[in-house]
Amino acid sequence: MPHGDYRDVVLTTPVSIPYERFSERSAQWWLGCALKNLLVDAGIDKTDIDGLAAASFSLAPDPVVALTRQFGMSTRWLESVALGGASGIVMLRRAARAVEAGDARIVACLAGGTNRPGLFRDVVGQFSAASRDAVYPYGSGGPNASFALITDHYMRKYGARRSDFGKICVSQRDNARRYPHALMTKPLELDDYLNARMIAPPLGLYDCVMPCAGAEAFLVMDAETARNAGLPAVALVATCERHNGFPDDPVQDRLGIAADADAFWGAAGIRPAEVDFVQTYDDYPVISMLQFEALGLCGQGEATDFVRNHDFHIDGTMPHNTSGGQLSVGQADAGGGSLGIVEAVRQLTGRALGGQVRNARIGVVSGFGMIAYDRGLSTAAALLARA
Amino acid sequence: MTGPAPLPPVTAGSLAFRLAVAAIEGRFVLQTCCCCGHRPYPPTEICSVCLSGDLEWRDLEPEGEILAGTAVHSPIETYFHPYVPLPVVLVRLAGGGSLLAFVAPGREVRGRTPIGLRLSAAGAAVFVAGDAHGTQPFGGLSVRHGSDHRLDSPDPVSAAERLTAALIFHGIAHTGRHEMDRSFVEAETGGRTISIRIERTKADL
Repeated sequence: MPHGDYRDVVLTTPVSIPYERFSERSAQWWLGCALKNLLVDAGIDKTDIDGLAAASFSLAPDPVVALTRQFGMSTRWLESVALGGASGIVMLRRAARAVEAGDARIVACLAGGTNRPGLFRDVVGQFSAASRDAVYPYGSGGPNASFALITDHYMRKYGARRSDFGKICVSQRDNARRYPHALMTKPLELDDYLNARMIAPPLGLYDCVMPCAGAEAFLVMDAETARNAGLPAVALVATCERHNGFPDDPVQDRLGIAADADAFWGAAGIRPAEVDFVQTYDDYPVISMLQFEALGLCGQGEATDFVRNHDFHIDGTMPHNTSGGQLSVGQADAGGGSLGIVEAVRQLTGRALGGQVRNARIGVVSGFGMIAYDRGLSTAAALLARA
Repeated sequence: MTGPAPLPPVTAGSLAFRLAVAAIEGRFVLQTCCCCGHRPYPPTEICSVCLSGDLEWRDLEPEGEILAGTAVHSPIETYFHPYVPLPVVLVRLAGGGSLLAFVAPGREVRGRTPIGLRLSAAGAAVFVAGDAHGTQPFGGLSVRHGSDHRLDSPDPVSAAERLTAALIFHGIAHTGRHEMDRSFVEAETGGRTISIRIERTKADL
C-alpha cells in the first residue's frame, strides 16, 4: 500500500439515494435521506456524528448550517462546499484534516439536491455574475454551449473525433447497465451516439449530462474508529485541489490538477499507471479526457490516443466511471461530485453494486466544477486505497 | 402563435448595463485598467492582474480572432426557440481576453473577424461577430444611430416596450436616474423614438 499524505484517515459507508429525473421533494429531503442511510448502514447514532459537510445547489434559501437544525444535530464542525463537481473531493479533504486534527471524530459528507422543472434554468441563469452578463444572453445554451466551445477547441487543437468522445459514453453506458441506480439504461451503440440529435455542435444528446434529483454520501473518520465500528474502510492516500488553474490558457484545455499532479503522485509513492480504476467527473466526455491528461494517465494533448488505446469497461484495461458516471446515472445536483468517490469506496471494499473491478486495490477519483464564465474553475483529485 | 410571446431573459447586472449604453451609442467598448492597462472581461470592478479598482470604459478596435464555435440548438429560454440554431463563437481580442458573441445572420466567421456591440431585445448588450456596423442583430432590437427600432420579432411595439422596461429596470435599479436619462436621450436621438414612458414606470417603481 502507498505511504500517502494522511495519517490513518479512512472513508466508509458509501450511500446513494436512487436518482429521479424530477422530484417534488426538497434538497433537504434528499440530503436527509442520505444521512439516515449513513446512520443505518454504519450502525451508529446521530449523536456519533460530530462533523457535517454538505454540497448542494438547491438548498436555497437555506444555508448548509440550517441542515443541523432540520436534522436535529449538534455538530462541532461544519463545512459548506459550494464547488459543484469538485465539492466531493474538497469535502473529503476538509473532513480528513479535521479528523486528523481532532476537530471532529466522524464527519458525514452529503452531496446532492433536487430537480424541479424550471430549477435548472434558475441555477444556470444566475450561476455567476459573469455567466449572467456574458454567457446567458447568447442564446441561453447553458453549460451545453460552454462545453461545446471547449470541445470544439480541443478537437481542432488535438485532432480528437466525435467517435473518441462516443467511446467514453458507450462504455459508461455498458457499465451503467450493471449498476442498479442508473437513470439511463437503454443500450447505447456508437452509431446511436453519432446519429443523436445535436444539442450544441459538436455536442450531441449523449454528450450532455442529464440533471436530476438524488444524493450521494460517505463518512470520514480515522481507521481505528472504523475498525471498532466494524466498518469496511478505504484509506485516503493523497489529494490535490486547484482553483483557476492556468488562467492564461485562451480556452480551457488543461485542468488545474496538472499543476499539482507531481506532488500528488509523489506523496502516494506510485505511478499513475498503477491505479486499478479511474473515476472522473464526466459532465461532458471532453472533461473526462482533460482529467486523464491532468492526472498524468497520459500526456497533455494525448487523451485521444489514450482513449483509442484503452478499454474503459469494468473488466477493461482502464476501468473508468464504473457505475456509469453521470452521463448514464444522471447529474444529481452537486451529488455528481461525489458519485465517483462513493463508487470508488464500493470498488475498493469489494462491494460494488454493479460490476466489480477484480482485485481493485487502488483507485483515483477526480473532480471538476464551477464554470463561472468560459471554463470550470475548480478541480481536485483523490487517491484511495484498500485499507 | 397564441398567447403572449415569451419574454427574453433580462439578466444583465449593473456593470454590464454600461455595455448596453455603449451599444445604444454605437460604440465598441470594454473596461481598461487605469493602472496596468489590462482589459478584463466579463465586466468587473477589480482588475484581475493588479487588483486596482480603477477601471474605465474605453473604445477599442472592434476586431478579434475566432477560437471556437458552436450553435445553440436547445436554448433554456423559450424566447430563443424560434431562432435556433443560434451560432455562438468564442472570440479572442487582440489585447487579450475573450468574449462570447453571436454570429451575424448569414455570415461565416473564421480567423480574424469584426465584432459589433448591439442591444438585444432584452435590453442586454450582446457582441456580434462578423459585422461591426450592421443594424440587424439576431432576434432582437437594433437601436443605433440613425436607425429606427426594428426587430425580427412579430410584435415591434411590445418588443419596444420590453426594451423600455429592461432599460428602466436596469437604469433605476443599478445605475441611477442620471445614467438612465442619458441613455434614453441617446436612444431617442437615434431616429424615431421608442416610446419610453418614464412617468408611468416611475409610478410603478
